[in-house]
Amino acid sequence: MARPTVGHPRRRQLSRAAFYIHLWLGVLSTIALIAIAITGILLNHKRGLGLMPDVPHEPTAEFTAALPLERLAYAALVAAPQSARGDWKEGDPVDISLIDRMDVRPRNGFVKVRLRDKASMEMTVDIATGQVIHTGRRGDVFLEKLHSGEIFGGIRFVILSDIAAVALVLTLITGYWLWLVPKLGRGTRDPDVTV
Amino acid sequence: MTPGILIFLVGLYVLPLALLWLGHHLKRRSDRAKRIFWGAVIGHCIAGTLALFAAMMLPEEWTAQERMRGFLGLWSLLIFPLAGGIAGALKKR
Repeated sequence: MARPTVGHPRRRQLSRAAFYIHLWLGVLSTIALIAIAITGILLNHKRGLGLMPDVPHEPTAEFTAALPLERLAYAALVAAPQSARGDWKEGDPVDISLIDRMDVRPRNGFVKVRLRDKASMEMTVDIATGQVIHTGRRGDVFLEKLHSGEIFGGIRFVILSDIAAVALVLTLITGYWLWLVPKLGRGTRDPDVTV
Repeated sequence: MTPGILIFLVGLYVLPLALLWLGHHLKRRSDRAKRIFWGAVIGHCIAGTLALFAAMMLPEEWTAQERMRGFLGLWSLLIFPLAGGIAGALKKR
């Protein structure tokens, strides 16, 4: 007597759904996922690839002797290329709308002043002397925006990488289902039953 | 949303959906439909590769002045598959 086959049609339906989810989401998210993967690798190695300036520096004075932020920002703006600082010129008060962020590194004795221009220009300034140690672009800022999808029009476009991530998760789960379920079915199949 | 971004989204998500629909039961479709399908698939693969290169060519902000980059990164994803599909439709056996 054949064993009841309750559950098998349901499993077949699930496998069919898994196959189509795997296929359609895989095709739809391929380019987005490749872009996210490549930018992720580049971001992991941003120092080695020279996308982010790596400035070795020792503190030149005690942290208590650090200059005020305004003086450091001024020094950075003076050293910035004209294209990055717009209409601002030496002698003007510091225009904070030009500055994206100031990243203070007390153990290295410097502050990284990043501007809001297209190339994300960054000046590394000694916090004790106000001397500009390095001026360069932050290439990784662009890659971060591309990685997140923000490059296509602000924070709303982060949804693009969210869609790709959800698609990847579903593709992985359905891939496992399609790989494992036939193996499980083979192990529990009744030898008397022919399909 | 700029026209370039809209075209990019259509090329990235809508066009592959259309290709999946066209590729369903491809064997039962006409030779012309098969040629359109393969032309569009080849166009999309080329566009995808070029778009990835264009996007990561210069790791700095993508400006409106960069026409070639804008074309390869945004517009090619729709234009190349369409061109491939048209080429496939026009091709004689």
